[in-house]
Amino acid sequence: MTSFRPGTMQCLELHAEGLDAVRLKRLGICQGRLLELIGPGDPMILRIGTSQIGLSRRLASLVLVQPVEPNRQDAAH
Amino acid sequence: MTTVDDVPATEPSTGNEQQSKTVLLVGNPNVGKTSLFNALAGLRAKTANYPGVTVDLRVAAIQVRSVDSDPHCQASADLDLVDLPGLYSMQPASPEEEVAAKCLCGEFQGRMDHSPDAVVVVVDATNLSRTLVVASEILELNLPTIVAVNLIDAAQAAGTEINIQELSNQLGCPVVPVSARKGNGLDTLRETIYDTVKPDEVALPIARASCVAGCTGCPFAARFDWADQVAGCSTESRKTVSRDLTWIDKTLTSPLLGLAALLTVMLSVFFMIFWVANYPMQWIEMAFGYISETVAALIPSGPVTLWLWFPLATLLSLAVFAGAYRLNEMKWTRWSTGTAVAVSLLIGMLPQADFHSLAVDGVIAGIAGVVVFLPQICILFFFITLLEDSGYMARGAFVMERLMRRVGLPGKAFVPMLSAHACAIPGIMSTRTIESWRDRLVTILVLPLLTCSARLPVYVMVAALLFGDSPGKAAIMFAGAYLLGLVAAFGTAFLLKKTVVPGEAAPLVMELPSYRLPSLRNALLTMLDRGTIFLGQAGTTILLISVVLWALATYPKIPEAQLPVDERQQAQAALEYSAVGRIGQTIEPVFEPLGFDWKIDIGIMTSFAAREVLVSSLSIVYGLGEDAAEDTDLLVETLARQTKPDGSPVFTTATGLSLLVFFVLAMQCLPTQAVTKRETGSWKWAIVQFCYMTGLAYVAALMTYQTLAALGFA
Repeated sequence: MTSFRPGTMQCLELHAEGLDAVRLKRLGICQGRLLELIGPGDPMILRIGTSQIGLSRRLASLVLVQPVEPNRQDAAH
Repeated sequence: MTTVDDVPATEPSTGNEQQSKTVLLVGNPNVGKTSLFNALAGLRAKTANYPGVTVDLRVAAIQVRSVDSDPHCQASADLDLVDLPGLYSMQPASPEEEVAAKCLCGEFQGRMDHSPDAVVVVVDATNLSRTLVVASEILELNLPTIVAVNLIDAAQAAGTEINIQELSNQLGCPVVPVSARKGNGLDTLRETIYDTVKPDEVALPIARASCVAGCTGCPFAARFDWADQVAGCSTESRKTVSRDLTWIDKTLTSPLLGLAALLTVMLSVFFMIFWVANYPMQWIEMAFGYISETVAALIPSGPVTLWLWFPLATLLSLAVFAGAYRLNEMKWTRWSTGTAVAVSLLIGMLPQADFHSLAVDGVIAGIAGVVVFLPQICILFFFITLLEDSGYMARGAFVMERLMRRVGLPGKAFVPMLSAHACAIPGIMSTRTIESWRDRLVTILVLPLLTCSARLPVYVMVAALLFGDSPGKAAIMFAGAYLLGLVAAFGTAFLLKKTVVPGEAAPLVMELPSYRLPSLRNALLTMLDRGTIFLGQAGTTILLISVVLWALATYPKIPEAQLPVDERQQAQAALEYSAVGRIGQTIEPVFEPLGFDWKIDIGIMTSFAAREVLVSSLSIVYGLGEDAAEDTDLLVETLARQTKPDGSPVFTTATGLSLLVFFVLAMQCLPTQAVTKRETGSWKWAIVQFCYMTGLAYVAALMTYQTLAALGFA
């Protein structure tokens, strides 16, 4: 995720294990969810649904994402 | 909702004869759960320690009743409402979450060994889908559950309408809209709780379908999808013109401006603390001065018959024990009762003059030493709670994350570290927001190295002693002392990470909650709670140690024949003759390489429980009497005149700076130790903290003295 620019993306896979995986997933960073990067940097800010999540680069590097086209975004919402 | 028909009017208050039911309040952090708890419980809330539960829980005994036109016939139920720590999922990621999850499953011993009688899940109306996720897990526990939709007023203002009936159908449980801040919907919530726990109801087994049943992918994703669907079905959003706060948020979370904003906010809070707390601290000192005078006047100076004096003194002492046990919520076991009775009998046998000294110099001075910190602690917690409720604190931790991580601390450790510059105690108490136990422990261990306000009298004394004629140099010395504390704290955190508490700080993933207007009531109640915890825990421990220190500094008593004529020298001679004085003289060789003589050693020992005592102790050992400690000029002048047996001055630049370095780094604060024990759950970490800090202080003071002495400053 660390190489992406602001915009919406879909979470494909999570390479985190143990406590890190639980901490990511319970805030909505899990397979299939849409994440919007609104504040790049380290740590970065994501919007997931109606909530904002601060995320360190180290954890972000464990999240595999793909960008979502704007029209698919609307469909997904 | 409850109607009159539900409860036969002929059997009023059947609930009162039943044992209290347990109702748990649970939900995500930042949904206003504690505000709701405070709104329901008010001043009845107290912090309870359950056996086996390491985290304290706030509990309130409240009564819920059905609404009836005739108040005399109202049926009611008594229940213990428990405010569980915030929970994102039943898979816990912090000690607090683990406790919350275990309480829900009834996995504790004692009072929490059974499933709760009802659960109130608090969700946020402005962020419904995310906060419903944990509700899905809790509903699957098949417990009697109520969902309280908090912040309903804020959601309406933002143009979101929630269809409560639809939400209730979707969830399969009662749903109550509330606004904890405005107090709306609380009666309905109480009534619904009553309906759920009422005694004459035959409990039917609950079997709710799981939203992850049959799902093969990630169960979390399935829950989020379920929550999205439920929230989507039951909410309707109108477009409203609302103020766009994005730019404020962008500024507050940007690396540079955000940091500047954070420093400005925290410095203003600090200014407020020092400025505002100054007045109550003065009042407390005045009040205790008055109390000691009154008590001193009440204790008869003339001879009283032993038959009258002994029972009176013993009873008084027992009363103090009873008060301390009550404050600390200690039970009257065989041991505690035995200790209280034995010590009280001993105190009853003390000569009148010694009893007088014990009451005034031991007990009252000991209590005053603790209570004087109370205003700073209360004010600090008041502002921290306001900042936390407003949603700003999470941004502060976010901004500090990058800087703090370099030394192995999480961004959230920033608030405790800043608080510790006023007093380490609220700092340690506010580490509870740090999720990972390892990060929390490292933060607690290094916090007392930061310069707290109790060190200031010592700094002032050394500054006046060494640089009395040069304000510039004194200012540099002050700044150096603060910097030394910071460097030592960060350095120790780094070393702890490599040794005793290995591992990296847990990388940041945290919610940045929406900005909200904080509730003054909530901040006041939190302040009251934290103040009470501090008084109960630190108060009783320090009372005990004050009495022990008093005894060591009083006994054995100097024989009358050896007592000097001059009254000031009498106190000096008595202290020299006492156990503390003898120990000071015995351990002189230990502290000699630091440039301290045995009189300074006495000061170090008597200030073991509270570092500011050093000034008054030095004042006594150098023959000025205790009252002279307030006159810095006189004290400094006297200290500067002191000479060693060979005629060289005692307080050289090397000795003064060595003493300063020692007091920057040494533990020398018993209330902090008591709070460390409380927050880490064992004396082990308090002892580790004491040992490493004293060791560090010794080595650093040794290096300072020897280096300066080699350079010719001794």
